[in-house]
Amino acid sequence: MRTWLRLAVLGLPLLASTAGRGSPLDFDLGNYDASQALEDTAQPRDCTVTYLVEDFVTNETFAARMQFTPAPHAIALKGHLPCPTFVPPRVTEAALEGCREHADKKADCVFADMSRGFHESPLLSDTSENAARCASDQASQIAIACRNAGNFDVCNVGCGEDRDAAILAARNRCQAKHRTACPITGALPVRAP
Amino acid sequence: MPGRHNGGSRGRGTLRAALLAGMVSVAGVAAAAPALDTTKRILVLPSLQWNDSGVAWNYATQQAPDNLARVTGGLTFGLTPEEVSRRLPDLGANLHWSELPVANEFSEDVRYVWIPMQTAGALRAPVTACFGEPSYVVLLFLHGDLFRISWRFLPDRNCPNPHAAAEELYASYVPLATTVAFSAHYRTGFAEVVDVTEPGARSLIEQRWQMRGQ
Repeated sequence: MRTWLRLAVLGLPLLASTAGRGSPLDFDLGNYDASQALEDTAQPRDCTVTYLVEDFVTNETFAARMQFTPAPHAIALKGHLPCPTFVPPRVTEAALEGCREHADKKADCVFADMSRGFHESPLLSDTSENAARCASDQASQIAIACRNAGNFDVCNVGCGEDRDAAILAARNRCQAKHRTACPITGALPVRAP
Repeated sequence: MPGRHNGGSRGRGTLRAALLAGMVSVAGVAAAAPALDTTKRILVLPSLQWNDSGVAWNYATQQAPDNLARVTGGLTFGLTPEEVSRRLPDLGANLHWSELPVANEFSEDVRYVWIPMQTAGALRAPVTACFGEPSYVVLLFLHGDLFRISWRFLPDRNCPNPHAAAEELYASYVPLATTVAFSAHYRTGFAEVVDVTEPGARSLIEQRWQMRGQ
């Protein structure tokens, strides 16, 4: 009897561990349907920062999309991986370079967000790098709004959750900066399709 | 009666004043009318994929000569004149290097063939906007290999401004990586030109056509 009792006491942890591993977990599936499961497990998309750059001599606007490999422990928010808070200068330079590869002269390429005096002194220093880009964790669309200043367009950039909102933001910025109507507009998604 | 006369005169004066005011008002409205909204085309460059520190990049999608062939309708750089004529049956001729005219504007041995835009088939496929009848495409060969395709959009009475056509075509080449093709859009004289050049052509990439006899 004593031997039996000893064996039983020794076997208890074994039994307990087997039970822990083998017993089915009690899932309450409720309304947890397949589509929700897919949505929740969907891979969040990498950050894209899109710049609008302008060849002011040919009046052509280029979109330069920069995708970022996420940091190892980056946490997605609402399906969007965060974009870098500080965009390295190399990225900015690459955006301009994208335009320059098509331009006659390097100096023809500027950021598409221009200051008030741009039509008098069309220089890169009269444009804003910060305002010429939209990040995918903040906006879905990037837009441009311009007025024609004779030989070329003077433009500004806006970001928004949809096309209309982005165009409105760009137009408001352009009209406030240049104090005139900015009827020339365009928009595209921040992320590549 | 004088009163009536006066009244009539005043009436005509009032009518004249009202008409004048109306004209001024219409002119004022016309002057103040906002400019029509127009769309600005945005040309999309190939996306770049950066590492998480933002130091190094690659093209997000790797590109190959096939990407160029998809836009040109089958032409890729490096084809011989004979291979080009097989891919462009509308040419109606067999091209041979030794029979091609020399493009004098180049310092190297460059030869060419030109095709009217109307018969360029897939080479002008993306274009829906108007262009003048004298418009044409030039295929340029360097030492026997195709190295540039140059579209020259010209105006005519039916299409006084072929800018939109050139932009449409250009927009389909800008997304190509510069490892596959260099594209440029410029104006010379009355012509709107789109050049797409082989990346290995080095100094010739920057050489642009100048329209003579403007």
